[in-house]
Amino acid sequence: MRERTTIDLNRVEGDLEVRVDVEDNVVRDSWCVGTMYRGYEQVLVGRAPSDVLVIVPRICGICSTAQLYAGVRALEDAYDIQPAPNGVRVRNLCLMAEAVMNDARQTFVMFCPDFCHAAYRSHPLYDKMVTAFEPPIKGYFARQAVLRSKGMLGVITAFAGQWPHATYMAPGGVTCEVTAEKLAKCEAAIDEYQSWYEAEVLGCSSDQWMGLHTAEGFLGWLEEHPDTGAGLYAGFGRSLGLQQLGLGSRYLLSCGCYPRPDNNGFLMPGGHLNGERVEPFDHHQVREHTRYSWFADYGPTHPWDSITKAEHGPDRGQYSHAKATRYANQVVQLGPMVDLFLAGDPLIASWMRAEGPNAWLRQLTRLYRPVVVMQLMRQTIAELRAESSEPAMVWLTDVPDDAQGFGAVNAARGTLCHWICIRDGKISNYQVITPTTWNASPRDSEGRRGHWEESLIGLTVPDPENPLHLGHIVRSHDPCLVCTTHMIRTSQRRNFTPY
Amino acid sequence: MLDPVPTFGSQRTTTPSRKAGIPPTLLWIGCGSCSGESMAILGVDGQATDFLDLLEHDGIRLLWHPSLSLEPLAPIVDRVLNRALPLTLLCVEGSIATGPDGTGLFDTFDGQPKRDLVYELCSVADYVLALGTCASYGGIPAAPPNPTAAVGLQYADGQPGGLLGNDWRSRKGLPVVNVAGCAADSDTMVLAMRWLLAGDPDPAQLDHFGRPTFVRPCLSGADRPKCGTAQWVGHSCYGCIGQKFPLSRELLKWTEARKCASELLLT
Repeated sequence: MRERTTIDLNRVEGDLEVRVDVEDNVVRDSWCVGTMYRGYEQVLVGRAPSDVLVIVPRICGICSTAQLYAGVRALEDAYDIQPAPNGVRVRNLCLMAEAVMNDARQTFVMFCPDFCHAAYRSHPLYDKMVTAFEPPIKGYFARQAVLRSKGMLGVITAFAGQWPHATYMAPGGVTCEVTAEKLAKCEAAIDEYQSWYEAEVLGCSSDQWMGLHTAEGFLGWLEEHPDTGAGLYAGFGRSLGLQQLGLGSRYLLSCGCYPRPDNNGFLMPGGHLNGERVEPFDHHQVREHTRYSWFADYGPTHPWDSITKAEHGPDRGQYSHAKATRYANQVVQLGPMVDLFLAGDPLIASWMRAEGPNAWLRQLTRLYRPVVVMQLMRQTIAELRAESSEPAMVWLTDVPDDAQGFGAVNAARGTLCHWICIRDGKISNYQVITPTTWNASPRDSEGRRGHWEESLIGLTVPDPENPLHLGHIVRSHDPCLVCTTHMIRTSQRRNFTPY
Repeated sequence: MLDPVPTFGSQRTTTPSRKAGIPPTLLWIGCGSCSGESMAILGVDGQATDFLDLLEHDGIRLLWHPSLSLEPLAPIVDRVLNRALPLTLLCVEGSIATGPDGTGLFDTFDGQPKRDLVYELCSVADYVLALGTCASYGGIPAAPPNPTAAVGLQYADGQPGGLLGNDWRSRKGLPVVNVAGCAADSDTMVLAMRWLLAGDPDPAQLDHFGRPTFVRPCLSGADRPKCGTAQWVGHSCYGCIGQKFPLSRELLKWTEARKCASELLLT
C-alpha cells in the first residue's frame, strides 16, 4: 500500500518540506516544497538600480556576499562597464572567505549531527560521532567549526566592516579602502584557519591533501587518518553507503568560480556537462517553467521575459512556490562538487568516474574545497600586494536609463544568477535563480521531476517516521531555502489540498 | 583604521533560575527571514560574544534552533505549548507574513500559517525577543509593495501593532524586545538576552520603538555613537535600514558614495 509522508527537514537554511510516496519501504514518488516566501523581486521593481546593492544581500544571510556580487555583476553587465581588477580581487577574497566559513559550519554543525541520531546507536563508530558532532554545537568539531570560522569572517569584515549584509561592492569595483594592514589581517586569518584545518580536519599538510588526485589515493589517506574531521565524516558516511545514494541528475551546470580580475571568464572554468561533452555556460539557455507552480503557465520562459501573472486555478497539480528552472531543456544539478568537477579537479573527477555524483562525494567536496580556496585566497592577496598602486574602483560618470544585464558568481552552494531590466532609470524586472532553486526544483512543463526529487526515487526508507537517509541526501546538497523561495511575484493563495 | 565593533560586555551573568537549578530555556524560530541573525550569532570576527557563550557560560538550555537542533520542530512545540517545557526566551527571526489575503499562507509550518504558531509561542514565553529588523518591524519584506503583507511582532508600517498588538505583554510583563539591525550583531543580541536573564528587566529601558538602549547603529562605537558605515565602506545607508524599514526613496547614491570615498582618501 502506498503511503504519503511529509517530512519537515531542519538543518537546511530556511524551511523545507519533502513529501514522499513510500510503498514497500521504497520511495516511489517525491515532491520538494519550499514553504516560505518573502517577495524580494517585487520589492526591487520600481526602485533605483543602486538599491540592488543594499537589498540583494538580504536575500540570504549565509551567502550575502555572493548575492551582492551577483547583483553588482548584473549592474555592470547592464551598464557595460569593466570593474577595476583590484576591485575584483577584493570581491573574490570576500567570496572565498564566505565559502570556507560556510563549508565548516554546514559540514560540522548541520550535516554531521545526523550521524548522532539514536538510530545509529549500535554502529561501532557511533560514540566517535557523538564526541565529534553532537548537536547543538557540543561535539568537538561542531564547536571548532563555529569558533574557527568566526576568524575566517575577519577577511570579509576587514573590507566590509560587518557580515552579513554590507554594501562595499558597487559597479566599478569596491568602495572601501584597500590597505597593506587589511591584507595583513586577511593573511593572518588564513594562516590561523589553515593551521587548524591541517592539524585537525586533514591530519596532513595542504600540499599532501591537494596531492590526493585519485579515489584510491584518498582511500589510502583515509586509512591513515580515520579520526580527523574529514576522516570521521568520510569513514562513517561510506559505512552507511551514502556513496550509493542521491545521485540525481547527470547533467551538471556551473558558471565557473571566482571572476578573473581582467573580467574575462573565471579563475576556475565552468560549463554544462551534457552527456560526455562539456559545453560553455550560456545564460540564454535558462528557462523557468510554472506548470506545477502557482503562476499562469506560459510555458518555459527566459528570466528577462518573465511575465507576472497570478493564477489561482484551474487546479493542475501545482505544489510549489518555486518555479522549475531548466537549462537547455534539461534537469540539471549544481553545487561545489559540480563546480570542482567542471573546473577539472582531479580528485573530484576521479570519484565521479568511479561512483557518480553521489551524496557522499557531494558532502566530501565541502571538506576538500576549502584547501583549494585558501590557495586561491593567498594568490589573490599576493596579486593585490603586487598591484597595490592600482585603484580598486572605477567610478561611473553616468548610467543609461534603459538597460538589461546578467550577473553570475559561484555562491557556496553553486552558481547564483541575477537578471535585471532597467526602464526609465528604474528596475522594471529582477530575477534571482539560486543554486538551490535548480536543485530543489519542482516538476516542469513536461512533468519531469527536479534534481532532488529524482535523487530520492528508489531510496529505501525502513522507518518513515525516521527517514534518515533521505535527510542525508537532501542535506548533502547544503540546501538554502531562504534564497530559493523569495521568488513569487504575485499574491497567491497556497492550496494544501491533497493531490 | 576604525576600531572593530566594540564589545558591549562579556560579563558572565548568573541568572536567578540558574541559582535555583533550573536552566533558562531558549527556543529560536525563523519566519520570513534570511537567517542573518542565526549566522551572526554563531560568531563573527570582531564580536566578543556569540551563541556558544550563551550555551556554555550562561547555561542556557536550547530547546530548538532551525540550524542547530537534531530533531524537527513539531515535537518540541507540542511540549512547550502544553507547558511540559518552560520557555524563558522566545527568539523570533524574520518578518511575519500575514498574506495572501490575511491567510498567512505565504509562510507555513505543517500546513498552517507560521504566524499562528508564533502567536501561540509568544503567549507561553517569559520574554520574547525580535532579533533583527524583520522580526521587529517587518524589514525589507515589508518594503513597498509589501508582497506578503509582512509585519513585525509588535510593529507594522512603522507604527505599534504588528502581529501581537500594542498592548500585548509577555508572561513576565514586557513588550517584545526589538533587537533591531540588519542583521543584528552578535554582541547586541547576547547582551539583550543577558539583560532579560539577569532578572527583573525594566521596560523603561526600551525606547519608543521597543529597542533596548544598547541597540546602536551599524559600526558605531561607545565613543562614536553614529553609524560608522560611511567610514568603513565609503558611503552610508540612507535612513539606516537597521532601524525601521521600509523606505520608499533611494537607499544609496553614487555621488554620495564617491564623496565619502574621496573624503576617506583625503584624511
